[in-house]
Amino acid sequence: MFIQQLVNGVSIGGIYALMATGYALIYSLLGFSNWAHGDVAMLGAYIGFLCVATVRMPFWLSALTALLGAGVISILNERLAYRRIRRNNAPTMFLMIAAMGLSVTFQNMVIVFLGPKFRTYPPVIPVKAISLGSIKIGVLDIFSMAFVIIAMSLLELLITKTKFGLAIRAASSNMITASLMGINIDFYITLVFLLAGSFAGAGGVLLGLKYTVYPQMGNVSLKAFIASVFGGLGSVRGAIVGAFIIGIMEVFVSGFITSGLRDLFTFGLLIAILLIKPSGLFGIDIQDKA
Amino acid sequence: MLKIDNLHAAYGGIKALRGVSIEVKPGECVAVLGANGAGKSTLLKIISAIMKPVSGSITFYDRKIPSFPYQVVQSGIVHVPEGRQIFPNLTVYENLMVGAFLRNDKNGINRDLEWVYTLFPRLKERQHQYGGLLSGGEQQMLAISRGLMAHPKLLLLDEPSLGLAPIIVNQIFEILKEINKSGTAILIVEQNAYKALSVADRGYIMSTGVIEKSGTSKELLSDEKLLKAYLGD
Repeated sequence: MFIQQLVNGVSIGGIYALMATGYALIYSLLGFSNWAHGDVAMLGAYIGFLCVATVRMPFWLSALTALLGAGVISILNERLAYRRIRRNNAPTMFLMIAAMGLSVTFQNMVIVFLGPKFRTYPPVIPVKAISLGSIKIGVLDIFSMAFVIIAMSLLELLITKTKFGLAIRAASSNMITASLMGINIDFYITLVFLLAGSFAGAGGVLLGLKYTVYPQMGNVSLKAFIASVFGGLGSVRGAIVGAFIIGIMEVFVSGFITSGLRDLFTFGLLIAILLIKPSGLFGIDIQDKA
Repeated sequence: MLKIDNLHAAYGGIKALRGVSIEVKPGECVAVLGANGAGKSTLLKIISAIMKPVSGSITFYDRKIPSFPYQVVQSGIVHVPEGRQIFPNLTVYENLMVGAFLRNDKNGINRDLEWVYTLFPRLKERQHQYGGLLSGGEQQMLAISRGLMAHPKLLLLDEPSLGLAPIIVNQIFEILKEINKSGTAILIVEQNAYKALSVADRGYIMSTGVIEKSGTSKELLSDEKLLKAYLGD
């Protein structure tokens, strides 16, 4: 039972991690909470759903379209809304408010054009479970976990080993100086939004497959936000660890106590970390000594 | 190589530069001197395109300066900003690699890396430490080296002596001489007039957004009255 719940927790935590990392990346660069991030995930879930259920495209192609579609929507958010605010050197609070506006707009546009109904993906991935001794793991969970592990490993490599990673680490540390060293800031911000949006889209599709697709499903990104704060705002590694901790904790609370208290524990954890270590688990930024 | 003509700049309604004209010739080291608030940093910020001027022209090798900072770096001008602005969460080596960001010539990058490590051996010793853990002097060395890693034709330096012990300032200015000798032109902005003129070929004295006086370093240094009037010591 314990290991069974652990597996379930890792599975849902992985989906949170997909959203939390993009969230953390954007926060680390632009210093604001992108409240539209969850709605990008929601739009990704809808794109995937429409491709599979309406257009009847093969699943892999639908998923790919959802990822790219969410990535493009995420870039458009930056281009059409955030960039103008950044150019004006406005307070980051304005960015957050713009993001909230986008969030409401997206949810309502989906309600208007696609309706408020809950929808379920057709069974593109078999709903079977594989038994390993006493533990049962759904095929979807295995697929989801494998995807998350690959995505997170690639992200880690991207950030620590590539020029792209060097650019965004430098820019998140000091954007003006990074630009003085020849980094084309707008270009890298666009890439980060593409990456974050695609990850969110993947999270949306996986959530949609596991549960249902509906206009407010993006609100689950609140969990990604908590994961990100818990891990240390702006830290990608922190966001991953935080996401798994929250996923596992939620499943354990639901399984061993009651699902009604699930969110209480999640928010309790947030309050606890803010009281004990406000910078989060991985929020030990290297301070400037001189 | 660099020609600035009748440059005007303002922060909101407050004028920071009023008709500044400056020239730097290839291989030269030129100093812009002046007290706090004279507009020296503003001048550099406009050259490196992190600030837009109100009017006036800046040309580099007879071509207009581009409008994005990374394009300015591409054209061969690197600005080492005031207060060093090291990336504290990147190692010394990574900081240097950010400096070389636009380059793809591996051999050239390695050659320049060796060069800055010979100029500042401290940096080599500490290459795997985080930039934020360096002392102020070491950070200034890193800031200059990071700028050199772009292999600039013209290096803009904003107050490299700021907040450093005199012995470190001497060291840094000795090395600036060496960098200049190697063929890199330097435009240095300083409050420390004597130090700056000891390396510069020529100097401009700036006060409240206007160039008050210009001449060779020798001329300016011999005019005690002038230095006292504009620089206060």
